[in-house]
Amino acid sequence: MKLTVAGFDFVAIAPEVILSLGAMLILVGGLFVKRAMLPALTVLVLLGSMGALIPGLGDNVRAFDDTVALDGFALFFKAVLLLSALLSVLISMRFLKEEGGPAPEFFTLMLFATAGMMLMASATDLMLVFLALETFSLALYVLVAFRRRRLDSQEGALKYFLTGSFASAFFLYGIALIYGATGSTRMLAIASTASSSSLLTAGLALLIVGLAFKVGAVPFHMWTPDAYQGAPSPVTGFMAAGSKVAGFAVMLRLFHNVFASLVWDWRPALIAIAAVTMVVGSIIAISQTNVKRVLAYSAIAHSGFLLIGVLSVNDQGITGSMFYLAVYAVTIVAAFGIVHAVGGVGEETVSLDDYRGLGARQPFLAGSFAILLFSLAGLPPTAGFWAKFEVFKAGYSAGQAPLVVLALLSSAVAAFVYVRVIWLMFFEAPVASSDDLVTAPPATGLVVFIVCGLVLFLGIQPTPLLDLVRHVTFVFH
Amino acid sequence: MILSITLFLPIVGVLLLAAVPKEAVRVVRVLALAVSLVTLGVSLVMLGRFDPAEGGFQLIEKARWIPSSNASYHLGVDGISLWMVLLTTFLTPLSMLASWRMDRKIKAFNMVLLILETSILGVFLSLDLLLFYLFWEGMLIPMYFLIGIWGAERRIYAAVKFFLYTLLGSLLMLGGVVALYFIGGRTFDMTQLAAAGLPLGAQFWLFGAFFASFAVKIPIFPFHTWLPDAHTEAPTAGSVLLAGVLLKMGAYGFLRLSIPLFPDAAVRFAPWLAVLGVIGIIYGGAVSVVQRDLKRLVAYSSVSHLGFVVLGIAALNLTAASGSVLQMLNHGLSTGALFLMIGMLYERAHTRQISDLAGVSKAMPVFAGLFLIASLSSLGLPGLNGFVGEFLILNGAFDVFRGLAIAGTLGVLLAAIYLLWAYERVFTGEPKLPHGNRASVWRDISMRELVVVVPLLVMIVWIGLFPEPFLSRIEPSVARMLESVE
Repeated sequence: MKLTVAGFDFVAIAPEVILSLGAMLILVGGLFVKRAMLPALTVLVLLGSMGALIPGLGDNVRAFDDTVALDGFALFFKAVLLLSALLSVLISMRFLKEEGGPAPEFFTLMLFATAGMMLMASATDLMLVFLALETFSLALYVLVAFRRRRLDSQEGALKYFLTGSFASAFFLYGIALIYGATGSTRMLAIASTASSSSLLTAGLALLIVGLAFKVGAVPFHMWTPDAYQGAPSPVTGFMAAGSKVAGFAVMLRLFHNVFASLVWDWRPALIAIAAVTMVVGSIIAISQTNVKRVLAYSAIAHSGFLLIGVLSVNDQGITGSMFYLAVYAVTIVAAFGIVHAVGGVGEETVSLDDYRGLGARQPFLAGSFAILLFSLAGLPPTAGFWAKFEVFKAGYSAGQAPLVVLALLSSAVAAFVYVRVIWLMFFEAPVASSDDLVTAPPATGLVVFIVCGLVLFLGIQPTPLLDLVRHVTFVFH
Repeated sequence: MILSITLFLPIVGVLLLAAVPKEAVRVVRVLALAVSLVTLGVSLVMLGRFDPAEGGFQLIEKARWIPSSNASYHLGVDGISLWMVLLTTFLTPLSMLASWRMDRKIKAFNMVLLILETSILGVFLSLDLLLFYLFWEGMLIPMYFLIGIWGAERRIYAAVKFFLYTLLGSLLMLGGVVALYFIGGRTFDMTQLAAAGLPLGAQFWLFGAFFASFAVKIPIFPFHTWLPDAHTEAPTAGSVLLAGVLLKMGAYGFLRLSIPLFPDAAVRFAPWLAVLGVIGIIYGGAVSVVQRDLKRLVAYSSVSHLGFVVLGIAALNLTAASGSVLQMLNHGLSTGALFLMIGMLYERAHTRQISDLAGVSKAMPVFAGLFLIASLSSLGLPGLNGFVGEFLILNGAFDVFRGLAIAGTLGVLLAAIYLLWAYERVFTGEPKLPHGNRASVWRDISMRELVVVVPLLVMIVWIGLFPEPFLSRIEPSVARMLESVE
């Protein structure tokens, strides 16, 4: 399909526009309508935004003077992000009730964050990438702090904010250096003029730092456990899914497309980061006693695995990463939905000890959690297995066999962590004090049920999603 | 279609069971048993349709699965997998029947057993490497729950150890699977991969990657340390399926994948494999002698018996390899019978310590007789199945590794020592029975228990006296498999 460069093309940004308008509408309208209406309104906005993806199907357009791409790659990630946001909104009902009813600002921030993440997936100008990054980061900083009466929520948000600001500054400085080296911030222009120079390499290094921070890659991961722990679980799930999808979407576009010719300059750095990330994430996860921190370190390890997809500059690297991100996003949102449900009022019971005997007390939640954990561990027959398989396959065919072996060994180490949660849930007797568990809210139950069904279905027959990602990346280059 | 029906009938059973309320214990038990019996019936129909003269794959089924990786849903049986499939469908209903009195989470227990059956069958029926791997690793999940939930005191330790050991091996194999896809011409079809003729260098380290997984599963010394814990702590049904079929998956992997796909590496590594096999035979036997727990004794004896299987495979000739396949079947039957009967003994005595028991034959003469037959089969008495397999293995191995074969015969001697000595201590002498000599506790073998044990003993005698129908189906396929190394 031919690439056309258009000027004003509303279709390219319609989903984000709908989200932004909806966000403002909810903020203002929240003063006038019943608060109970707000979640439904938010869902409506998200569905409207999803509908707005449809007109762009099959297009391959660079709109707004080549700053926004409208291609299958972007549409896929936008759909994944909208789905994650939708599921996160559904599981946040109980939390909002505890905080004094659905607050308009919560939904507004969720919608703005989603819009920013979506723009990350389609931005083809580095300045726009930066704006999108800041948009969703600022919204997330506030969302992390949303458990207003909890100190750890404030602490997590502050850490996230301070280190995140640093990362943004790095990213911006990187853009400046690349502009200095190539004379443009447009990806197309950069790609055509990029040649190995120390200025460009320095700029690229700074971009990597900024993005590695957003996806929680070692050594830029320090914020992850605290922010994950402090944030209300529905937000944690959304943040884990969204920032990873958005960050990796940009990385894939940059490294597979824009800087593909400079692969020898940046690949060693990414290999090092990937190796350290998966090893550190997997090993530290073992020593955690809080389930949210366990999932945080698991998220770090997953970033390491995903980096293999990024640094394998081949079609499989793209499609494998897309498959991985889609599966990971819905899995982690549902997993935090369960953490939220098990956590009870105020999320007091989130230590691993609180999961003892959960299988007897909450068979549905425990069973679903086991499925999701097996998927995170990458065991068949779950979608997580194919995610890893596709990415490892890409890595091997890109000549990264040693890294793949390291990833396999890290998977074995990380498996212990998931297996431990499962044994606590099913093999051990319940703790006496936790019989007053709140049952799962119906919306959470629905989300968990759908995601588990999806994870198992794709685990047995991954072809539909594999075909989809291959189809949409057909026009990527 | 018949292979797919065999493969997925247990899953249909799981779905049916899901609809039954868990309080309806009887319905759950009967339904699960019925499903596994129907599966056995279907697999017997499969046996009937199997052409004994044909050495290649039969009853092949192929359907689109993952075209982007050139992997397909590809099933088939040959003379090697045929018996493994039948062993699985045979042992599953027996373990269900043996667990009739199991009273914890009965519905979940039967569902897990059926899921386990499908995943084991999938390993033996797959002709596509990716499909094979899916079942191979997927099998870990039901087994993990089986040991972890329904096991004995140290079940969590045993379950996790089993899980992590096997997972580590499997993940290394996954690396090999991915590499094989690219080196072997971008396909996962086992027959195409075998025909691809891999470069020598690749063969060596791919053999190593697959070895990691198979060696843990069999288990080959020194990768066996998970086995005694898992077997001892697992519930009876779990031990039966673990020893009966799961261990065979490793040996099957060597026969189905390592030898045909990496023939040059297999030839090069065969002597080492044989050495490890013989170490396993002697070490497993020696350690069995000193065991104080009856179940642990049988568990260690598996290390010894599987050592014979490994030795037979490593000999790479028709006699020994056919003997290995037959011995895989034999071990499943005799060890299955021993674990089932130890389970019955435990239900009465609530102990498995050999020193706690004596003179059981006074209280349970019929049971004692049956136990003796199973023990004699396990130690290789002529006329029973174990003798045929071990004889073929040692006979075939003698041509290739003379010294090792002679050393291997020591294993037969050790087996006689640990089994007969254990029998003597537990069953003979002045009765020393826990809970006194009350008839209500020490009733002899019940009708249900007879139904469990007798089919196994019938097979044990049958193979011992007339191995021909079994060997005639095994040999053509083994010969075909060995073509790659000639």
